[in-house]
Amino acid sequence: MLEGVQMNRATRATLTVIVVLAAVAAVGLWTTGERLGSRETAEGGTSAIEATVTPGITLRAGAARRFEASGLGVSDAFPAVDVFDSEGQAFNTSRLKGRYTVLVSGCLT
Amino acid sequence: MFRDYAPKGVQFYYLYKSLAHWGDWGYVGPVTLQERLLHIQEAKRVLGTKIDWLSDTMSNDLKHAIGDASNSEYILDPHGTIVRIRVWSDPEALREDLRALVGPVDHPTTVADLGMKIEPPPSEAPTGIVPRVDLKGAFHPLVAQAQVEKRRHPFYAKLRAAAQNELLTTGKGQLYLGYFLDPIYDVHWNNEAAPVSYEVTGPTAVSISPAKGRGPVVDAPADSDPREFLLNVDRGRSTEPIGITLHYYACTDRWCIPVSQEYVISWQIDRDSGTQFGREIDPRMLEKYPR
Repeated sequence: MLEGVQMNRATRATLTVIVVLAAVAAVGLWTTGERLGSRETAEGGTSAIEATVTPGITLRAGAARRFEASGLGVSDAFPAVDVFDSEGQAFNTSRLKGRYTVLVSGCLT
Repeated sequence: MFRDYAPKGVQFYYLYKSLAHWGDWGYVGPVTLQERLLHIQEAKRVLGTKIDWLSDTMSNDLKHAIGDASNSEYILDPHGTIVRIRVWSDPEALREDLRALVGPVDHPTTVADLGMKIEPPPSEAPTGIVPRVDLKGAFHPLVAQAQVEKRRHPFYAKLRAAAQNELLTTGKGQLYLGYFLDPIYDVHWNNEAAPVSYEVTGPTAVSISPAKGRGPVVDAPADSDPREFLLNVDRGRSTEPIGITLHYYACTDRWCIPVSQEYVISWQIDRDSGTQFGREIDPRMLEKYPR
């Protein structure tokens, strides 16, 4: 991340554009299955690849630690959590059964 | 991927969580579930995806349960068991996974096949008119609880509060208050109305200066830049929260109404509110800073 570094407005604008483009690319490419570059670099401000969660997948150590601290791994049941569908109706994630399911977390920014 | 594998019985969900980067594209954190659902509608509009969405709770229960990752990815088998897990979505690897688990597709869909058109975010009024406050040093986002039960109007403007690192470690330092218009409401600052103002209330042992403030008088008739303030705080050893009341006019081209809304700010880093990119410390990087 660029914390502690004072940037001028132009630099911030440029970085914002980069992040926005990365975010758009992430969703678009996920939809189609094309290669997605790591956004950890944009978020973390470092290109250091320091840890591996699953074979062939690497990421920054800090993110890996928190992710691994969740205790989730292959062969675990996905957590049963009360959330909402896009219409605001209650939805428990334990309902994600009966067929293969792909889930990706994200947001507008 | 969705187009290729949904017909083969795979269900796809996007899990909408709290914002990773407050203020990017103008989007700011929702304070109600209804606003988070509006974000999902906005994401559908902007991205044009047909994938179903799930919304996390306002207490971010799912985000916490799955390790707080911004863009994590999972494949569950028909029993609900995780068979693939990644902290960061990797479409190419996902396609390989689905090929192995479900089977190949004859003609994988490409980006060009979809003809995706990314829609721009809303733009109600010009930006870049009011200079941004220069944050010197490391700032951390604070827990700022909107008092939604007291509201008479939607929170057209959202408060972003951040503390200089020293304010959290020594009790003395700067407090940043930023008021951002929420683009989901299509409002702007009408600069012919009174400027934004705020009042801070807190324990008598806590010194806050200035405890009241007004935003700048702006020549342009309207804009949607954030209104930002830097306050000097000496809270000693107090851990008591402080109250902020914000007064502003929320305006469209058709109406303009006075709004007063309250927040309670705690001296706790908000790990769920993301960061203002390049201006605040990513809560995931806290190990670098003394506590």
